[in-house]
Amino acid sequence: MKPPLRRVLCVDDDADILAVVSLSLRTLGGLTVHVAGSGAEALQVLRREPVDLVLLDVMMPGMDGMQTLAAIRENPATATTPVVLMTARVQLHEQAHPPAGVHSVIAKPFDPVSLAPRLQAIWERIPSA
Amino acid sequence: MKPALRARLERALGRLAAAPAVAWVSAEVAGKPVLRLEGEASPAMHERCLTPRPGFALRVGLGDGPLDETTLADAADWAADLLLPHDDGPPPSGADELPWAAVVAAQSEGIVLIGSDGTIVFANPVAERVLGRRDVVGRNIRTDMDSRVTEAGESVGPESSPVLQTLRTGQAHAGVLGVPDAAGRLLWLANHVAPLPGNPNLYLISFTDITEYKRLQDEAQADGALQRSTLATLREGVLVLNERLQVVDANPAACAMLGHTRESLTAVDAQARPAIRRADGSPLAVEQWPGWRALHHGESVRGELLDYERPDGERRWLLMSAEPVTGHRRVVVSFADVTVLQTARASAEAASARWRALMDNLHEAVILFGPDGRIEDANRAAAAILGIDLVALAEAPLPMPRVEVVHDGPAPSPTERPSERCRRTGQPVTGVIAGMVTPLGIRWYVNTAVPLPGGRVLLSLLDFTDNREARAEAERRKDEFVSTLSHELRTPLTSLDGALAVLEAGATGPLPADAASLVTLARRSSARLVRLVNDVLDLERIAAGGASLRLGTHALLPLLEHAVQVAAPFAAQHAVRLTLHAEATARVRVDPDRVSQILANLLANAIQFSPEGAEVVVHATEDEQLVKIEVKDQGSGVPEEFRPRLFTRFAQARPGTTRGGAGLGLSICRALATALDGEVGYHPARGGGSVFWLAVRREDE
Repeated sequence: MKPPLRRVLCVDDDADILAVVSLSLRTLGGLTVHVAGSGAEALQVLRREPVDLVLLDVMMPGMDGMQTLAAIRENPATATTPVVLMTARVQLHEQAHPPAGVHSVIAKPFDPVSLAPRLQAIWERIPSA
Repeated sequence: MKPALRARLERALGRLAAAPAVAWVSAEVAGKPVLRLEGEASPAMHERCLTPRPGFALRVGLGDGPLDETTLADAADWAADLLLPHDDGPPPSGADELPWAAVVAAQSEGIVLIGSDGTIVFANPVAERVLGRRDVVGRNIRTDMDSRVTEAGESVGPESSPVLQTLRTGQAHAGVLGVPDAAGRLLWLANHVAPLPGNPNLYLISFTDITEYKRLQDEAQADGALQRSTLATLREGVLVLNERLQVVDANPAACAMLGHTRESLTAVDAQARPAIRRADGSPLAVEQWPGWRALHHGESVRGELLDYERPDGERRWLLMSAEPVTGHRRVVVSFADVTVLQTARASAEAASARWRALMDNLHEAVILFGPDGRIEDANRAAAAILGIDLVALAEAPLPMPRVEVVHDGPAPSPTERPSERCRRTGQPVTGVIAGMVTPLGIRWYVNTAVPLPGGRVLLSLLDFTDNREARAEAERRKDEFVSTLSHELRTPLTSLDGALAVLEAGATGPLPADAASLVTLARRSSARLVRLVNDVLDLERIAAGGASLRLGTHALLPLLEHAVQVAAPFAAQHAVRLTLHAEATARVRVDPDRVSQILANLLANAIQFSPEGAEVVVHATEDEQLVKIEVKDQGSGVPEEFRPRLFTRFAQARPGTTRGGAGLGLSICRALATALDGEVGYHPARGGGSVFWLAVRREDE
C-alpha cells in the first residue's frame, strides 16, 4: 500500500492563489505545503525540501512552468517527482494525454476545496517508484 | 425664201387683195408661211370650183403644219385665179385639179355648207366621215337629220340646233352637240355656224370631233369628283401645291388643321408663311419643306414631324408627307395632326425621364422582374451590383444573372429568393438579409420584394454593408474587451472564489452563523462570476476553432440517459419532472463531452424556465442522415421578436428576469454544435412552451 500524499510544493507567480491553495491543502487536506513564487524559487525549495508532488503553474514570468519542469527533471533528486500542472491554457488540459513528464493537468480555475482530494487521487494512480 | 418665189407670192397676194371676195389675206401666221384667206365666193366660184363655192374660210397649213414655200406660192396663184372675177370667160381649165381640193380634203375639221333652206350643198371628206355617210350633199338638215343632244344631256330637235338658230337669226353660233353617227354612236362635235359674209344664202358649218376629248374630260371630271369627295371625307389634311408652292387645292381637314379657309389657303402665297419648324423648334428653310423636296427632288417624303403655328397662334404637331405628282409640276402634301399624341408622348417621356433620374440616383438597387422572372428594368445601382448591361436591357428583358449569396451563419431553410417567394405567394416579402458576391465585393442587403400587377415583382436591395461592418467592428471590439476583461478577471477570481470556498468549507474553523451565511452568499456570487468568465472564454475558444474535440462513434441513447441523469438533481431542485422519451438506436459521431455540455445547457434552460410541476421531455427522432434531439418544456416560450437573436451572445429574452445565466449558454451550444458539424435550433412547442433541438450526423457504421 502506497503511503498517502503528504508534502506538496505549490508554484505560482500569483501570491493570492498560493495563499488560497496552501490554506486549502493544509487545512482541508492536512498536507504539508511549500510555496514558491517563481520557477527559480521552486528549484531552490526543491534543493532544500523533499516533496512528494509538485503543483506547477504553467504561465509564469521569467522561467515558465515547462522550463521549470525541465529543470526539475534534470535534477536526479527530483527526476521522478510527480508534477501536476495548473493551467488556464486549454490546449494543455484538454489534451487526452498530458505532456511528457507531467502526471496530470488541472485546469484553472479550480475548486480549492476539492483540490486536496484530487491531488490525492492523482497521487494514488501514480505507480510507486 | 428665194427671191423669185417671193416675187411670185407677192404678186399672187397682190392679186388676191384686189379680189372682191377676199376679206382678209395673210401669208404668214406666227412667223411661219401659211396661206390664210377669208372672204366670200362669187357665184362664178360656185360654178367653177367644187369647193368652197359661195363663201369660204380657208386656212392652209395651220392644222397640218406650214406649207413649203413652193406650195404656198402655188396656192396663192390658184386662189387668185379662183377668186378673181371670170365673168368674161370660162374658168381656167384644170381648176378642179388644183391643190384646193387637196387642201380642203386635208382639213382636219369637218366642213359643211348649207343653203338657207337647210340643204347641204357641200361636205368635205372629214364631214362625210364624221357624219357617217357619203351622200350627205342634197339632204336637208331640217328634215333629214337626227335629233341632237346638248352637253347638258338634253335631246333637242333640229329646230333648236345652232345651225337652225343661225339660219333663223343670221347670227353666228358656236356650241357642242352630240350627234348620232350612222352606227348610232353619239359623236360629240364642237360646231361653229356662221353665215358666209356677203352671201346671205349660204352658211358655213365647221366642226371638230371632240368625242374622245370629251370622254377623257368626262372621265377626268368623274375622277375629280370622286377624288374630291374622297378628299373631303379624309381626316388627313391634303394640299395640292403648284410649282411655286402655292396652294391650288385643299381639303376640309387641311383647312381645319391649318386654321385657314380654302380661299385663304389658295389665296395666300405659301412661301410667305414661315409657319413650320422642325420638331426640335429649329427653323426649317424652304428648301427643306417636304413639299419643296418632293417638287424639286422628286422624292417621296414620308412622315416628318413638324411644328406648325396656326394664324391664331396655336401650335400643332403635324406628321407630314409629300408626294410629287408624276408628269405635273404639282405636289400633294398630306398631314395628320398628331398634337395629342405628341403631347402625350412628350409628357410620357418627361415622366419616364424623371422616373429614370430618380431611380438612377437612388442608393438602393431596384429591379423589376417580369412574370417570367426575367429582369425588365433595373436602376444604375442594381446594374452595378448584378453586372447588368443597361443598354442591352433597354432592348429586351435579361435573365437574372447568377449571384452567389452568402449568409451570416448557416443558410436559412427557405432558400427561395425573395423575388420568387413574392411572385409565388403574391405577398410582399420584407426584411430578408443576404450577402451577395458583387463586382463591388461582398455586400449585404436588406431585400424587399413587392408584388405588382401582371405577375411582376419589384425588388429593392438596400445596402447596409458599411453599417454592418461598423456593427461587426463594434461587436469585435466588444468581444475583445470582454475577452481581455475575462482573462484579467480570471486570476483574481480564482483566488477570490477559492478563498471563499475554503472559508465556507470551514478550513479556518467554524464561522459564526451570520458570517457563514455571508460567506455562502459571497461564494455564490463569486462562483457565478467564475462561471461567466469561464463561459466567455469557452465560447471564444470554441468559436475560434481552438476547442479540441474527441470525436468518436457513440450510441445515442446512453448519451441522452447520461444528460438526463446529470440534470436530474437540478430538475428536482426546481420541482420539474424530467422525462426521456427515446428509443434511439442510432449511433452518432460526436465528442460525448460536448454533446453532454450542449444538452446540459438546453436542459438547464428548460428547467429554469419551467413553472413548478411542469414537465421537460427529451425526445429523439432520426432520419437517414440526422438525429435530432429535442428538449421540450412547458414554459412561456420565446417571444417572436427575440427568436432571431436567441443563439447570439449575451442574449436574454427578458432582461431583469435572468435566472443566473449570462446569456452565453445558447451561443456556446451553437458554437459547439457547429464544431460538431451539427446544428441547434428552436421552434415553439405545440400548445405553448419551447422546443430546443440539437441535430447531429448519424454514423451507424
